[in-house]
Amino acid sequence: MSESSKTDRRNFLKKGAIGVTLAAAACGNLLCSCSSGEGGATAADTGDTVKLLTPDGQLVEVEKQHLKHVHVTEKVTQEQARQGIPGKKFVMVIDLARCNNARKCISACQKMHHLPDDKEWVTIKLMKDSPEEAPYWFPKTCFHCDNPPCVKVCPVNATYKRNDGLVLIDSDRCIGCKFCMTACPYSTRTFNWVESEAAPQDMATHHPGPEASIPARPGTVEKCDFCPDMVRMGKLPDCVSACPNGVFYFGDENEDVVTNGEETLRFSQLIKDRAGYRYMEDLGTKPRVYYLPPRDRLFPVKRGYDALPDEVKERYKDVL
Amino acid sequence: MEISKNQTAILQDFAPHLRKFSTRSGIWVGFLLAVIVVGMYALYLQIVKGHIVTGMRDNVVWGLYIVNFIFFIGISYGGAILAGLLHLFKVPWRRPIMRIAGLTAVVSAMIGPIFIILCIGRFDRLHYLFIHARLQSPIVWDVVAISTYFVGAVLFVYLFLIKDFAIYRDSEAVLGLPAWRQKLYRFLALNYKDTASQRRQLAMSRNLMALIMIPMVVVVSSVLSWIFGMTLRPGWHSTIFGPYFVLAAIYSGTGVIVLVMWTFRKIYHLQDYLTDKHFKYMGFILLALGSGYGYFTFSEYLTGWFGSERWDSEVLDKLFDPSEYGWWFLVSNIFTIVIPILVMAFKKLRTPNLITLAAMLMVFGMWVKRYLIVVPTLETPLLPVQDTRPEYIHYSATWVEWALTFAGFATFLLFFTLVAKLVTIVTVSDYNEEHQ
Amino acid sequence: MALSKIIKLSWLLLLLGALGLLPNTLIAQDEEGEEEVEQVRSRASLSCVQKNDGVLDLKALIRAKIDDRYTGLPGLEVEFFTTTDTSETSLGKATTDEKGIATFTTNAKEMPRDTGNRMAFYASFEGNEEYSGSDADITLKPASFALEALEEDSSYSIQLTLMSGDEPVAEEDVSLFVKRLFFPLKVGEGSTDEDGMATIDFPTDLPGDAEGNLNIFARLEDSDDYGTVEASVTKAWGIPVSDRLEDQPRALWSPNPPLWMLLTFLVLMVTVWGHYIVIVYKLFQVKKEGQPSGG
Repeated sequence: MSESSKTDRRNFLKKGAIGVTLAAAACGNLLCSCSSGEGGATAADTGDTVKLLTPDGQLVEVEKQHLKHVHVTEKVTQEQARQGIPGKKFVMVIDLARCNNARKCISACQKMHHLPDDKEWVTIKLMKDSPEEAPYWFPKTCFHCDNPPCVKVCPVNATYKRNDGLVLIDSDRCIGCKFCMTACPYSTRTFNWVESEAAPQDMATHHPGPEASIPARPGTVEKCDFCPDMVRMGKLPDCVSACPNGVFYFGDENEDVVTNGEETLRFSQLIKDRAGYRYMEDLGTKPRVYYLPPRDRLFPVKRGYDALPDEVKERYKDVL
Repeated sequence: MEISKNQTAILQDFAPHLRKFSTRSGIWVGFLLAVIVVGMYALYLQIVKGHIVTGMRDNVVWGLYIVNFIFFIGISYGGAILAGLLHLFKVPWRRPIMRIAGLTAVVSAMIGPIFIILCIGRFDRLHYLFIHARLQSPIVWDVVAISTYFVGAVLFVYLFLIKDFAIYRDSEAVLGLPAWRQKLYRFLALNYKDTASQRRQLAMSRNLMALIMIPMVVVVSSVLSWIFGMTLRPGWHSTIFGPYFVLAAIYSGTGVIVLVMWTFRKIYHLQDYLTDKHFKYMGFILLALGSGYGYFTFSEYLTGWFGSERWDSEVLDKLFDPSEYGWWFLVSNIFTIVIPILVMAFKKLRTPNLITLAAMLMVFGMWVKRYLIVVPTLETPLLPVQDTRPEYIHYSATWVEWALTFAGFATFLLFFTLVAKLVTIVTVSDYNEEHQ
Repeated sequence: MALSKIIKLSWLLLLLGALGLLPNTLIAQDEEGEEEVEQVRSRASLSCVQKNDGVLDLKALIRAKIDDRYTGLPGLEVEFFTTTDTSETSLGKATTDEKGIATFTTNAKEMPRDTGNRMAFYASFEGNEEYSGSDADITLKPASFALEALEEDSSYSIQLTLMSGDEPVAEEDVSLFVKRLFFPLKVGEGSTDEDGMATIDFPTDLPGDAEGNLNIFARLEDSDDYGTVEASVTKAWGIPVSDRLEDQPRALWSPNPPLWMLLTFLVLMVTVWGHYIVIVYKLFQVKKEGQPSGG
C-alpha cells in the first residue's frame, strides 16, 4: 500500500465514519488488504474519487474503490428464502428498442451485489442473428426459467426454483461442481474462482443468504437473482431502476403488471402489442424473461458502441 | 489346500517379485512418489489460492480434471466388463488376463474419482452429495453408480483372489514371506480349503458376480456419458452418448490391459504365461471394439455435420478446423480407429510389440478424444462469448492441472506396482491342470 | 505500527458510530488541517396530496446537484409551516427518506384559510455543514373526491365527484389507478363535467388478491389549484389469485424426484446390492466351513 492511499483512507474514515456502511466498507478493505492479490490491484491506486452520500445525508468524497452500495433489507428465514414470496410470479420484459448499451444496469448490479469490476451478472451482448440482419444490443439477466436446466442437474439442491418463479443459489450449500454452469444454455452463471474473493464486510444492514446472494463464497456458483430482498420490500431490482432508458420492465405476472419505474403497464397487453417473445423458446426452458423486438429503436446501435471505453469496444468489434 | 506341482512351479517363478523389493523398483517407486509430491504441491496451491490457479474459467468450467476422470473411470469399466465376459463365456485363454483385467478395474476406479474431487470448488462439502442428494441430478447418479460399482469391482476381484490367497498361505516354504504377509494371506483366504462345498459356493459367487457386473458396467458408463448428454449443449446433447461411452470405455480399458500385459511380460519375463497368442486374441478384441467405436464416431459426426444445425456446426467447425482442434481431431481418429484396425488387418503386423504400440496410441487417442468432447463444447456457448480476457475464451490447462494429471497417472502406476508385490499377476489357482 | 493503529482506531470509530454514540461534530473536530468539503447548494420543492376526510400529505423534496445530477438528500430534517398573510405557524418536522422526500401528514380541516378559501404551506430545511438551507411554498384549495362503484351486468365503472368545499370542480383531468406491487397501474381516465362528475369504465379482467379484492383509487394529478387529490375504494372486482404457497411438484427441477425415477433407482439398487449381499453371505459360509474346529 502506498502512503497516499493510506491517508486517503484515513480521511475518508474520519469524514464518513458515522455512515456505518461506508466505514464498514473501508474496514473491509483494510482487513482484506493483506490478501488483495491480482483482484484488488487493478482498481486500487487509480485515485478516482466520487462524491456520495451517507445514509444520514452527509456528502463525502471517497476513492471509487471504496464505493459500496448498501440497502437495508428485511431478514428472512432459510425456509422463506427457499419458498419465495407468497402469491407472486415475477416476470421481466426487456425492451430491445430502448437499449443503447449504457451499461448502468451492469454497474448498478455490481454495486448491489458487491461484485468485482470484471464480474457481470447482467451482461449486454451485441447480437446479429444472421449476416443481413441488423445488430442490436441484448441485455441479459438470468432468465429464471420455469423449466430450469441448471436446477435439474444440481446434485445437492443448492440451486432451486421458488414458488414465486425465482431461481436462486444457496452459497452455503453449493459444492462448486459447476454442473449448473454447463447446463445453463445462456451462460448466466459465474464461479468464484479466487479463494480470497471473500465476503464483503459491509453487510451491517444487509442480511446474508440466498435472497441477497451474499456473501460470495469462494468455490461456489453465483448469478443474477432478481434482487428478491429488494422486491420483498416493494422496491425494484437495481438494474431496473438504474437504466436511464427504461429498458427493463419488472413485475408480478399474477398481477399482470410490469413497470420500469417510469411507466407501469399490463404485462399481457405489452407482450401482445409489442410482439414480445422469449429468447430461444425452442430449448423448452420456459424463461421468465420476455424480449420486445428492436423495432422503432430509440438509438442507433453505433451510439452504444462509440461511447464505450476501448477495452469494452474490443468485445464487440467482431460484430460491428 | 492341495497345491499341484504345476502351481508350485508358477509360484517359484513369482516368488522373487512377491518377496523382495529390488533397487530398480525402489527407484521406480521413488520417481512415482516424486511426481505425486509435485502434484500434492499443486493441490496445495489450488486449495490456498482457489481454482484461479487452473486454466478453467466461466466458459470452460471443466478441463483436464474431468477429462482424466472419464479416462480412468472408462478404463476401469473396460477392465471389469472384459473380466466378466471372459469368465462368463469360459474363454479358454483367459487365465493370465483375468487378474490383470480385474486389477486394472479396481486401480483405475480408485484414481478416477480423485479427479472429480479436484474439479469441485468446495470439497469440504463433499458429504452434501450424500446428505442433500437430489435423485434427479446425473452427478448423483454418478456418485451412486461409481460407489456401487467400486464395491462390486473389489468384490469381483477378491472372488478371484481367494483361492490364490489360500495357495500363498499354504506355500510358506516356496514363497518364504515375512510373518505379517503370511498372516494377511491367512486372513484374506477365508479358511478356504478347496472342499467340494467351498468350491461350489465360490464358483456360484463368481458366476453371480460376473453376471451382474456386465449390465452394471453398461449402466454406469452410460450414466457417465449422461453428465454430458443431459445438458442442452452442442456436441454433448446426443442420444448415442450412452452406448458411445460404453463402447469407448471397454475399448480404452482393453487397450490399457494390453499395455499392462506387455509391461509385466517384459519386466517379469512372463513369455510362458502371456504368449503371443494372448496378444493376438486381445488384438482381435481391440479390432472388434475399434470397428464399433469407429462406426459410432462416424455416425455421431456425420449426423451433426449433415443436419448442420447452427450450434452443432459451430462445434464441428472447431473440430474440423486445423487452426483450432482439427489436427487433434485427426490424430485422435487415426490413433483410435485407423491404426488398431490396420495393425490387426495384416497378419505380419500382429506381433505383441506392434499390437501393444497400437494399443498405446489408441489409449492416448482416447484421452485426446475425451478432451475433444469436454473442451470445444464448453468453448462454444450458445450465446456469443464477447469477452476480451483470453483465458475466458480459450481453455489452456495450467501447470497445476498438468502436475495433478501426472500425479494421477503416477498414482495409477504406483498402485499397480505395489499390488503386483502383493499378489501374483496371473491367477495361480487356475493352473491346476497341466500348463498349456 | 502506524497501520495497525489506524485499523484499531477505525474499528473503534466504526463501533461507536454504529451505536450512534459518536456525534458527527466530534469526528469533524478531529480533523487537523484537512480541507473542508465545500457546502453544496440544496434545493427544496413542496407538493401536497389531499386524501379522503381532509387528510393532507405535505411532501418536501430536498435535492442537490451531485456529480452533475440532481439527487434527493436523505436524512435531513425539514420543518413544515402553515402561513397566512399575517402569521406563520409551525406544524412539525419530518426527516427525508432515501429519495430525499420528507412527508408530513396533517388535516385540511384544521388549517387556516384566506379569503379565497386557500391554504398556504411552507417547508424549510435549515442547512448544515454539507448543504446550504433551502425552502419552498405551496398554496392550494381544499378538494376531495367522492367515489361510487357502479356494477351493471358484467361491466364495472367508477363514478367520481370532485368537490372543493361545496363547489364542484369542473374540467379537470382525473385518472383511475389500481394499487400494484411496485407502482400503481392506470386503468382509465376522464374529465370532470360542470357538476364535478366523471364516470370511468373499469376493466373486468384484472387479477386481484386471493379474494379478488382490488384497491382502486382516483387521482387528480398536480393541479395548480388543488395539488394532488386522491381517494380510494376497495372492490372485489378482480380475478382471485391464490397467494398460497404451492407444494413443489414431482419434477426434474424440484426437490422431489418423479416417481418412476425413484422406482427405477430403488429397483436397480436392490438388484445390485442384493447380489452383493448374497455373495458376501456365501463368503461367510466359505469361511465358516473352513474353520479348523468345524472341519
